[in-house]
Amino acid sequence: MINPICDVANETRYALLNSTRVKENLAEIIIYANCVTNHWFALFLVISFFLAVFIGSLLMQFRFGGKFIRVETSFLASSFATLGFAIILETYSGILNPSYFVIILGMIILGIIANITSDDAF
Amino acid sequence: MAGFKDITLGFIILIAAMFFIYNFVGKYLEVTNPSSQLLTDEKYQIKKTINLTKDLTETMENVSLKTKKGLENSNPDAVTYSFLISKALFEIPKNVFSTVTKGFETIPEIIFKGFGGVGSQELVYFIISIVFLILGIIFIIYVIEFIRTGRAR
Repeated sequence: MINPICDVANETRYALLNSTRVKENLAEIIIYANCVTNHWFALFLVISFFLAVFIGSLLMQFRFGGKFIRVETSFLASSFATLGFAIILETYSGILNPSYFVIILGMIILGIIANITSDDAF
Repeated sequence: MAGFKDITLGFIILIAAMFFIYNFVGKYLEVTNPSSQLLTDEKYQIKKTINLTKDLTETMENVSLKTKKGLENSNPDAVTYSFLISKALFEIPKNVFSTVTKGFETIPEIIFKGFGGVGSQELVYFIISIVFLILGIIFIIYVIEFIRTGRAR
């Protein structure tokens, strides 16, 4: 997918970055990083956010619950957190591909199904 | 998880959660970034889901307005008044029932189309239709059991 911010708005291959642009809009940093990494930056930002919340939640469950942990709950919680992060990225067109947004929504559906079908759900 | 009640409860929770999430995402993006591809492109289905919920609430509002108008227009004749009240009492459950059936129509729109952008829509449709088929068969078996033994679950 061609990023409209990279190629149309600036009429160059990569977005331009200077202090004036950053001062006007802080999202320009992400847009620039996204352009020079061929649109991989936003995707990896989302994936790393998901992994950080997921592993952090699992470790917290280990600490508080001992051996009794539920992986699906961590998965659902991190999917929710990632959805919020993706919504923030989505407020600027062209940073995150909408397909990844739909994948996160699908992950939430799977997380809810995994939670309601586990043994101690209710 | 075991039992018909738990599975049904789980489905209701799932549908309610997706209802709220889709509405939240759509309404938030409508305010912050209306030109987002998620809203403008038909294949992501978020706009359509918002419109479905809007239709549901509009139907309920129309019913309440109609009933209110009917009561306001009536002369304070005791017989007519009681007739209108009983008519409204009949209308409310009828419309609640129609809202529920419309909600069942929105289930595929919310669940299946959530996977539409990924391309695994047919697979999910297949799996969930099997689950619904099993639920229907279990319900029929419970009804038969109730008729034969008199025990209801």
